[in-house]
Amino acid sequence: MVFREFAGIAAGNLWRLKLRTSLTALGVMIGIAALVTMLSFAAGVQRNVAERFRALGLFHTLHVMPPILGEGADPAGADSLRSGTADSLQGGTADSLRSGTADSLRSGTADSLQSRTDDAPPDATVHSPRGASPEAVRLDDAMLARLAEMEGVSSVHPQDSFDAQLIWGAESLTVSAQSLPAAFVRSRDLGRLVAGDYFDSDEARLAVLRPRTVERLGADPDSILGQTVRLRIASRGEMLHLLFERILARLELPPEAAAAARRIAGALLSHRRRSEIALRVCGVAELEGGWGFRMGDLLVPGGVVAGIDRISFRDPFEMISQLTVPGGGEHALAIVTFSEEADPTALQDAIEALGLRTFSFIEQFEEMRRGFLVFDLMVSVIGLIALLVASLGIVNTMVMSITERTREIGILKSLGAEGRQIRLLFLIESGMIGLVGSLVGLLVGWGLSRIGSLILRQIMAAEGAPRIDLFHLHPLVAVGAVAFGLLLSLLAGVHPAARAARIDPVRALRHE
Amino acid sequence: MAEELLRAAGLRRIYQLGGREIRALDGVDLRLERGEYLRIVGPSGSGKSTLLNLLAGLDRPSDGTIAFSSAGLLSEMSPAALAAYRAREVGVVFQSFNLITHRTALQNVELGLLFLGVPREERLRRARAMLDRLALGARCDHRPGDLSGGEQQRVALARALVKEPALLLADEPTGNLDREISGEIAGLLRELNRRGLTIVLVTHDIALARGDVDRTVHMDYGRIVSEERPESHGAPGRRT
Ligand SMILES: Nc1ncnc2c1ncn2[C@@H]1O[C@H](COP(=O)(O)OP(=O)(O)OP(=O)(O)O)[C@@H](O)[C@H]1O
Ligand SMILES: [Mg+2]
Repeated sequence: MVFREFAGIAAGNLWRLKLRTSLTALGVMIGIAALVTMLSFAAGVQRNVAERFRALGLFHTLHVMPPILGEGADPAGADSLRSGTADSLQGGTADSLRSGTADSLRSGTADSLQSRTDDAPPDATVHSPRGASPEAVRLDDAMLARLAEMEGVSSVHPQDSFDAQLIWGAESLTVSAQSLPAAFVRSRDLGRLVAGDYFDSDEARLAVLRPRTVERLGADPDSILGQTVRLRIASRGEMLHLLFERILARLELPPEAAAAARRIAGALLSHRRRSEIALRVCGVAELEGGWGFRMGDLLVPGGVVAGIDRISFRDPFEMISQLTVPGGGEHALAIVTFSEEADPTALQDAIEALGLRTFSFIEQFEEMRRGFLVFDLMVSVIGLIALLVASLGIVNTMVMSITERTREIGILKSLGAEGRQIRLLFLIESGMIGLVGSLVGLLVGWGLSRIGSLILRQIMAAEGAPRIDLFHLHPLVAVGAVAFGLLLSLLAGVHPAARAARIDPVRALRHE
Repeated sequence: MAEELLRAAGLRRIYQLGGREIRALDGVDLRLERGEYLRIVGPSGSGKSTLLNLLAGLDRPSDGTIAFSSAGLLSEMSPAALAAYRAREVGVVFQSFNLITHRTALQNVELGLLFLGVPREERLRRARAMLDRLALGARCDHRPGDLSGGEQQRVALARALVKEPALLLADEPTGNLDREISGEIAGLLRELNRRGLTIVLVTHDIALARGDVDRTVHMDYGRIVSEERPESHGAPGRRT
């Protein structure tokens, strides 16, 4: 009862000094708003990541890749090979690609390209002639079958990316294409369909394009649906051929020698011709990749490009690695999904024991989570500092208020107030400042996160990214922030309120 | 035989001021009967206010006891019990009216019932009635700043009386008022006493309420030096 009466008196007092109250509450408001906005952002991003992971089934997914060029069972050999390759890359390939000097090519790329030995001694490995390599670990269909039989594995899907030219009518684009098994496409949320549908068969000559790709072709999703496009796939042979032609041009050999070299090269590389396939556009979808899963501009069923010599690279290192992989039958990546009960770590270890490389999304997610935790902590510290400053403001306001109201306190005591009731009154006042500040801060923080979300959406939409909400205000965070603001303001009020409670009524009431 | 309301015995109040001892009260014995109108006069610094504050439960004596009929020994009370005593038994008015300036007359008077746990509706009703009785019914919603000194003191009186205390303590209630208004306040006190209220009036003004009181006590140097009872007055216990 007294509490309610006091709340009324306290509210009246605060209302009477609106400016002072609001300025004091403003401090709390800013702290809470900052805390709420930043925590919403952290939570929003985190939630989106988790949702994306879930949608893509990444919590039950392992990406399996063939070993890096030259990497094998012997770590010493692998090391030296890696350094050899890297050296040749720095001293050789990169330069040779730019300047085209034969020397640098021979001393670097050519040799290292041929070396894929695993067990040879370090020195010999780098310079060993082709053909000396023993059985290499390959991510071919046999290996996929082997993976599929492992305990806990529920599916194995090859996934290949390759660069190609997309031709439609007179338009031609360089695209990064991707092949995925139909079953895999159907089991995941790979992105919102704008038109048509995904494919259901691995053999059908169909393609799903991204809206952006369609746009680049100068078409719109509905008109291109059902149309036939052609995909010209870059092959290793073509790549080597081009490389060879460039080098030949730089060598300035006598015409006869050049012609002879060209003949030999032509014979050697004759089986590696560029390939072109016709595909019917069956769907247009916002293919969403991310989180270690790069989605191309174009998606085709797994069987369509099977056996076609193709290449994809993002850097020279990758190109070299790809050039040396014998064409056909081998996959750059296999997506292994496992059952709920399977132990991801054990499975990962077992697959790595086969000599393959793996990429775990759980690890990735955990790492991100740790990053978010650090971010949350930093945000909280910033918010905490703001709130501490705000608390000092409350202390100041309360001390000032008590000094001004000494006589009032004396009057209340003469009318029968106890010290603890006076304390309660002032605690309610400081608590109210904190509560109002926190509530308004929560509202402002929420508003800011909405505005931020709107702006980010706009930006992301302009970039063609999916429209996701990057802010998420968890109810617990909202309640926690307000409770925290209230608690801090109560703590700030403890000392001033105790001072008020101790005021001697005789002194307070004595005429001025 | 008159009923005793309050008895103070051997009251001392000693202040330590810069290592010096100030004996504001130096052994006061006082007996107050129910319905009595007691006047305390004395020169400035004689300890009148100090005594009144002890009787009001606003301060505690350094030595001695105060027994209040229904509440017991004030000196042995817990802070909470002493606060309850202030809330229930005594009403106090001061020279400076000690009204809360940002509250209206009604809100000031209503505060007199807050610590008795009276519900708000009843507090407002009783406060309004009390202001009416003191001819301030029309000034309920005025703040102290908008009232004259006499009106302010009447509001303070209303606040002290709204709980219907057993004892009214008034410390120089007319100290800030001119002669005419002082007379008005004195008349009001006389009227209240006639209706049975026990009053202790502290005043500088030898003339104030001289004819109204049952007894006048003279103080000096923290002691009661003499006591007089006007001939015209009989024993106070005769009235209610
Ligand atoms: N808090 C205090 N600390 C020190 N001395 C005090 C204190 N309060 C009162 N005194 C001293 O005690 C003495 C009595 O003071 P008190 O106020 O009771 O006198 P009074 O009779 O009411 O005087 P006046 O008529 O001027 O109001 C004075 O000498 C005063 O200075
Ligand atoms: Mg005095």
